[in-house]
Amino acid sequence: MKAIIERSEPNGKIFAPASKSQTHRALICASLAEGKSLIVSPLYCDDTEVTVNVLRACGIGISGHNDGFEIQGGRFSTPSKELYCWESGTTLRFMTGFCSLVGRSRLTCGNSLKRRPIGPLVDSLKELGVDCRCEGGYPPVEVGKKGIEGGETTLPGDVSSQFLSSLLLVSPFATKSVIRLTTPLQSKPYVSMTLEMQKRFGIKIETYRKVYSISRQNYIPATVNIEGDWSSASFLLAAGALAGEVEIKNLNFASSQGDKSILEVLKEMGAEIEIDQGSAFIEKKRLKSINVDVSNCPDLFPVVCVLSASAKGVSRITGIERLKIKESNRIEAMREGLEKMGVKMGVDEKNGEVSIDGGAISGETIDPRGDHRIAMAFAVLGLIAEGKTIIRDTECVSKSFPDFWERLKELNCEVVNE
Amino acid sequence: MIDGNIALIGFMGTGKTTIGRLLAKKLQKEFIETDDLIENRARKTIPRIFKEDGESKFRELETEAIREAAEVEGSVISCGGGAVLNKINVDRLREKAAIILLEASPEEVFRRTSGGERPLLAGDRLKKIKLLLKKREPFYSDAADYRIDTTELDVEAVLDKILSWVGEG
Repeated sequence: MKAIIERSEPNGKIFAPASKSQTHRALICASLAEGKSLIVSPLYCDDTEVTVNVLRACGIGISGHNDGFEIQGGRFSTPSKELYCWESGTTLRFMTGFCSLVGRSRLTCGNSLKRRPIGPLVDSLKELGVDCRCEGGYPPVEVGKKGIEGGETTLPGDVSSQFLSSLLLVSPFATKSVIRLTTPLQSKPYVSMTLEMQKRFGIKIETYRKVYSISRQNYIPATVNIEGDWSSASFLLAAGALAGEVEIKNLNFASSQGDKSILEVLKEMGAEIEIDQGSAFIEKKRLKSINVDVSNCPDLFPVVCVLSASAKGVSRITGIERLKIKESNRIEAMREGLEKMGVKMGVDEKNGEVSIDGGAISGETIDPRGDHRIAMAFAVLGLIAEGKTIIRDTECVSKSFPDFWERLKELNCEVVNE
Repeated sequence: MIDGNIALIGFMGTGKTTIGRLLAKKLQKEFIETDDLIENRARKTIPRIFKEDGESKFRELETEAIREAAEVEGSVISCGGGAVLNKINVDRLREKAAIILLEASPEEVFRRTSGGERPLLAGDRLKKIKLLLKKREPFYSDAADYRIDTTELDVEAVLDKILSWVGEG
């Protein structure tokens, strides 16, 4: 399927979809808590469905209730077949730790995720006494005898914050564990989100600088409401800032989601934003260029690129070292797409930065390389492009924002899916 | 000073939101819009609830919202245009609030609601407004403790009338 986008002025009110990262964390915590938990207003998307299916295969009872999931957690059973995580990195990483409590299991995934390393997590788990292995540092992962002993381990902080989150999630089952980071933590907000969700399920973890100390504790069942997703909202906010007048609801301005920083980015670029009780109102204004470090919010990279493409002057985006190991090589995907649409992007690999010289945008056909965030970013840019913008492979948005195209239409954007 | 809540009812475009907000400010009460409560509960906009879940689901959510709003002590409640079609909603409001009906002629409603999304008014709008108004008139009349025709009044004049009715003018 493809989407044909024409120059539009989005307007109206819209609800941000629920947070994907929080939904994943709530699912895992609820599954670790013995008893019944409720997850209210979760995100239903490809990735969270994968987590649900894999958890079910590990013996967790998950059913739908009124508006969310009811979870019977705390009892695990050995899966009868391998656990396939498709392209959901979060599922694979979180379940790698989780499976130490499940016992004999094999976690595998799709081809793009197979190219993303998991070695550091497996090494750390081994140090904590988990019987697991992987070949050459990449998936699939195999877990043998069940159990996590505890002890001390080290982990690099700059590969994937999901490794640390995965360890934090299962460590309360060990007698006592200490995790030391050997390099500064990137994407720190994601780890805060993990700790915050654990806290809602009764888990307390001590942190001091780069050291995390976890004592033996039990997860307690809870009812949690999932807040709106700032990564998904960033595309809607960008649509408003570039082309129209939009109110986005279901936002938590005190959220621990790192992608909330899209607000600062937009303000610094000169956008008109007003916030009021869970709503952000944003309207079109000519933006100015920005210097921004995205190491704590890497998922904002594509959307910041398209904002920069329309801005006056040259923008510099730094902190992009880990973007090559995302769903696609996001730097290359953005460079290729932007150049097609008439905007020059310079890549300085050595210093880990890109520069974008904003200018006139012309419609083009974009192949998002199966990457949801690339597809959504160029769709938003299409709203201000001269002529038609065609986004191929539109289904890829189902990874995080399944009704993205419908929501653009809800905002009266000229979008045709065919 | 009126102790209880004040509920504003009436057709779309009669000024429930605008008047309600100003009235709440003036009386230092909390302003609650039942349509907002509904949207926040469903986490989608009302046009989307109509489209995806149907009007009956919307009415169900509306009844919950009215109950919730009426329970908030010292509030000005702006009720969705169709809220009083259901007797349960009227009874709940009456227990806790003075009910004020805002009215306007069909032509004025047409003028005020041009632009924006109003799910019940797609198509030949003026004709639909007239039909719906006629259908709802008895329900509005039955529910109202006090009524104001806003057709030829500006916001200030409507506010003054309400304030003097509640003894604050």
